[in-house]
Amino acid sequence: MPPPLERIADRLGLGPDDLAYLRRFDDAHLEALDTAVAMAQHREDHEVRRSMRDAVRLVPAPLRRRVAATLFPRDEPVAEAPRGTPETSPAEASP
Amino acid sequence: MSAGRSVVEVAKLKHALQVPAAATDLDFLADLAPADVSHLRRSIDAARHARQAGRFARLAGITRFLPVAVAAKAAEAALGPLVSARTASVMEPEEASRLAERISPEFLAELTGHLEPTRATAIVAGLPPQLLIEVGRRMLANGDHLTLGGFVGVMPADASVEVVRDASGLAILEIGVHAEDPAALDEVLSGLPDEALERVLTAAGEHERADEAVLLMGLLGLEARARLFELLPRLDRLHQRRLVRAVVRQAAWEHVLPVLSRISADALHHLVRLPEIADPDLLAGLVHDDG
Repeated sequence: MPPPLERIADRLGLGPDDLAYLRRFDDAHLEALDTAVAMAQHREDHEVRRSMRDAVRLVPAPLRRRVAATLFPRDEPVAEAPRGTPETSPAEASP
Repeated sequence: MSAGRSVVEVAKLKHALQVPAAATDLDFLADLAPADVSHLRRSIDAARHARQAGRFARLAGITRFLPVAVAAKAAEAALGPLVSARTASVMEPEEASRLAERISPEFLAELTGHLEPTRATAIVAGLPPQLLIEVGRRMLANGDHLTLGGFVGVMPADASVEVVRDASGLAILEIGVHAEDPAALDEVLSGLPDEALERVLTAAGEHERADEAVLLMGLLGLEARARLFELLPRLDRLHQRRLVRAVVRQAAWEHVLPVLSRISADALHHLVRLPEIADPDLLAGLVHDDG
C-alpha cells in the first residue's frame, strides 16, 4: 500500500508535491487525515447513489429504465470503500 | 495571530469533511500556515465535486426536460439537499436560480450547506434578495454559522446585514471569524448598528471567546476596527479586560496600534487606563519588540 501522503494526493487527484506542506507530519497523523477524507468521500458517494435511486423510483415506469441507465451507466467505475466502512449491499449499489 | 487563523481554517476543514468540531484527530493541521489548510480544504472540495461530476451533469440534463415546478418538487421530495446542491453547481446559473425560486426556503437552507460558495456566486446573484434573507435567517436559526461565513461576499452585503441584524452576538462572531471575504465582512459589519457590534464584544467576553474577537478584528479594516474600540467602554469591565488580555496574549498589536489615532480621546483614555494596558512589563515588551 502506498504511504499515506501518496494516498491522500491520489484521492484528491493531486501529485504528492502539491501537498508538500503535509510532509512535516508523521504517518499516524497522515493516516488520520486520509481516513477522514476517504470516509467523507465514501459517505457522499453512498448518499448520492441512495438519493438518485430514490429519485429514479419516482420516474414514470416507461421512462424509468432509460433514466436509470443515464444516471448509472454500466461501465462506471465503482468507488472503493475506505477501511473500516461497512460494505454497501448490492441492493443499495444498483438502482 | 496566524496560529488562530489556522485553527479557524481547520474548523472549516472539519466542517467540510463532516468531522465533529469536538473531534481532535485533525487538530494537528493547525500547525500549518492558514493558507495551506485553506488549500487542503479547497482541494478536498474540488475532488468531491469532481468525483461524480459526470453523474450530476447527466442529472442536470434530465432536469432540463422537466417543467421547473416538477424539477423543484423532485429535488425536494427525492434528491435531497446534497444531490440537489451538487446538481445546481453544474447547471447553468440562470436555470439553477429559476429552480431555486420554486424550492422552499427550508430546503434551500439545508441545500446551501452542501454548496461550494464560489461555485454558487452566479446562482445567488440571480435570486431575489428577500429569498436570500429568508434562507439566511433559516440557516442562522439552524446554527449553520460556518456556512453563512462562507457566503459572506457571495450574498449581497445588504442581504447579509438583514440576516444578522438581530442575531446573537455569538452567532455574528462565528459567522465573522469564518468569513471567506474580509472586504465583504467589513461592508456587512459597517451596515450593522452599534448595538449588534456591542453584542458581539459582550458575547466574546461572556463566552470566553475573546481570542476569536481578536481574530475577527484582524480581518477588519481600520474604520471597522476603530468602531469596535469605540464600543469598548460600553462593555462590562470584566469583558473589556478579557478582550484586552486576548490582544496581549496574541500580541495582536499590529491590529491595535494603527487604530489608536482614529478613536475618540474618551475611548483612548479609557483603554490606556485598563490594567492590562497600563502594565509596565507590557509596555517594556512592546518597546523591546520594536527594537
